[in-house]
Amino acid sequence: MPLNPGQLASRPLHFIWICDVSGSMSHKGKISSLNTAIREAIPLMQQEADRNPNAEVFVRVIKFASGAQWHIAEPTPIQDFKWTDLTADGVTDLGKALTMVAEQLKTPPMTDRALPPVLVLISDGHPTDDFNTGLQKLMAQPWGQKAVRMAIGIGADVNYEPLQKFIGNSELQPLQANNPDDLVRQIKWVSTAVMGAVSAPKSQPFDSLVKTFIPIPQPPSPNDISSDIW
Amino acid sequence: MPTNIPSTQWLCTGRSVRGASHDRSGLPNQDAIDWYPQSGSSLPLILAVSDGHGSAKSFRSDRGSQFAVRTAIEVIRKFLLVTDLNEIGDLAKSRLREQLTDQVLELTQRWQENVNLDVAAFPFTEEEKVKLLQQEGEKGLHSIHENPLLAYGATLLIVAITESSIIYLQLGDGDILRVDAHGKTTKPVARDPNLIGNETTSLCMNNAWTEFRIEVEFLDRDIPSQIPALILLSTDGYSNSYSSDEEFFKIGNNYLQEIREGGIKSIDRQLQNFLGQISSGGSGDDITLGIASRFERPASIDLPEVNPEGNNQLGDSEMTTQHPTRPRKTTSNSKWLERLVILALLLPILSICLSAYFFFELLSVKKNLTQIQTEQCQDRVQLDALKQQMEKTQEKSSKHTGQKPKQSNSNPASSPSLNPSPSLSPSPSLSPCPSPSSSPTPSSNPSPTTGSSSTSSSSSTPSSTSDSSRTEPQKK
Repeated sequence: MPLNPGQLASRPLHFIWICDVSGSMSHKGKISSLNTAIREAIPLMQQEADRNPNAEVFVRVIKFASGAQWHIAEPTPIQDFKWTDLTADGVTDLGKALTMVAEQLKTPPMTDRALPPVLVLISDGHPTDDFNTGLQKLMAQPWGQKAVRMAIGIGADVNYEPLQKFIGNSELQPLQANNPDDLVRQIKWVSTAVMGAVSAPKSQPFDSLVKTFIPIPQPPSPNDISSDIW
Repeated sequence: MPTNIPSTQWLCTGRSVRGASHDRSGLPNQDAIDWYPQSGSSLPLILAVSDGHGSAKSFRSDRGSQFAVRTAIEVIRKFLLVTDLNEIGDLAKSRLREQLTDQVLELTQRWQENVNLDVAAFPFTEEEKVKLLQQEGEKGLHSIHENPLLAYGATLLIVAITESSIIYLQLGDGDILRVDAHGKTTKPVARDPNLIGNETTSLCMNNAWTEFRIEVEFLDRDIPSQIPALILLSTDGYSNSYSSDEEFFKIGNNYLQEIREGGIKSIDRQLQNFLGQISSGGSGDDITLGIASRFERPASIDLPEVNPEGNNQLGDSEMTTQHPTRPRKTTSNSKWLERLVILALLLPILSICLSAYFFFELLSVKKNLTQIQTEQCQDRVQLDALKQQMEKTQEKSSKHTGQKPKQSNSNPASSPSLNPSPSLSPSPSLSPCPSPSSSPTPSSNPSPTTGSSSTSSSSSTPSSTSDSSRTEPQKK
């Protein structure tokens, strides 16, 4: 009698966009550039996911301004994912958004078989709420600690300190996008290179004293500063 | 005599397959599996699996996992040889856990020694270093320089089954599943909550021995239903191929049913392809599975003390090919039968051997007799020659002296001066000569009365005998 393998499943990889939709994002076309960049990145993400059939990529979007809410709440398989444009208005309650993300990284609903989640924070300003409390809640979750956290700062007014704290790795700097091309390039990079690095399961020794990070490929270098418009 | 004690035996098998993602990326299978004894069918049974880390820093983890399973078997085997596992109770369990803590310390030290020896014998190549530099930068290279063990990093899962207990040891991720007779599947070793994502505790860590999770289960032979029917050891590539523990645990009952229906050989035949399919459809990681399966005679069967017909009343086909692992009363009858059969087989063989021995002995005696007769004939020929020579000499001397030669029919022996030697006459001393090698010497030696040692020393060949016999009369 042939052996029964049961119901097999690829390992889930949760990819969460954490998008700043404060009022300042409406200036100089930032929000529309963000919408365009993510929309263009989706096919690339789908291609990257196809390269590794043993990881199943699920995408969600949370937006924060005056408060925070899930823009796309359901973990959506990347092959079915469709981008819905964001609009900008309000302040920058990043702490609230991180608190909501932390809730979703609890186990359950997460499973201990998942691949490390990828959290991509995109912001152009300063947090206006209790950012530290939100970050603590996120880092209190094992999957919050194990998550690959990336940050993209848009424009010259961004406060990089909270972005760096969010990343939590001094060897990895927030990416800077000073024009739409930068933003597209960096969004594509996190959507493909970072996601690809995380989706291939490569175990490594755990050290409770030293934080270990999934090796992330070299980020794209910024464009010529003469083209900066933000 | 009726008995309620079942006869228990364990069988072992397993496989390790390269993961689908390793196929795509060109990585080797970094898992390893080993068990002792190699037959997998007698106690104590030790089964070990190891998962070499896939990160770029652990570029020799395939060797590290091999060292891990080999070292595990050596250390635990030695431990079981010198440890009394028949005590039961909480105190005994606590003491055993302490002893096992010492063993995992020794195990990790020996693994590290093996790795250091390997690094000394095969230093990291430039190719390995350049590849690591490309993948993880200077930091990765520095970490290997600081701790070369990282290159060999691997997890380790061990199960040791004895007549009275089962020992479970686990370092790092992976799963040990215990399946009872009803197919209920549990984890005897609690999972480490720190191990999520791709991070795991490892033999390459400085404090690796403190990270081992140790469990001991004493087996109550009187309640066989409490003894696990199946124990599965797997690397994390297996469990990561399912969405939840609930789904993964179903494999326990699946394997149990398959073994009951088709035997462990059926599993063995399918395992390689089966695990490959699971990796492709699931995690993509290397998958290694070790299976220790228990067989048991139903306790309700009453066995006679001796079965003169020699018929095994048990229907389990596996029983006929495996060795029982416990000396129980229920098996003593079959042992007596085995002894009788062996005796019956040995008797004809023994009688044939004895016949052959006597046959060859007789041949040897016959050969000796023939040889003695030959020698006697040769001696007679020599004697005749000497007689003729002496007669000629006497004739010559009589011609010279003008005397008539003596009567030819005179008895030469009656004339001591012409008698070459009593020994040259057929004498009883020749006949007992037992072997060809001894024939020329003492028996053919001239008697001391001849007073000629030269004659005796040269009498080994007919020619020399004739020479000496020629000279001696001349002297006289």
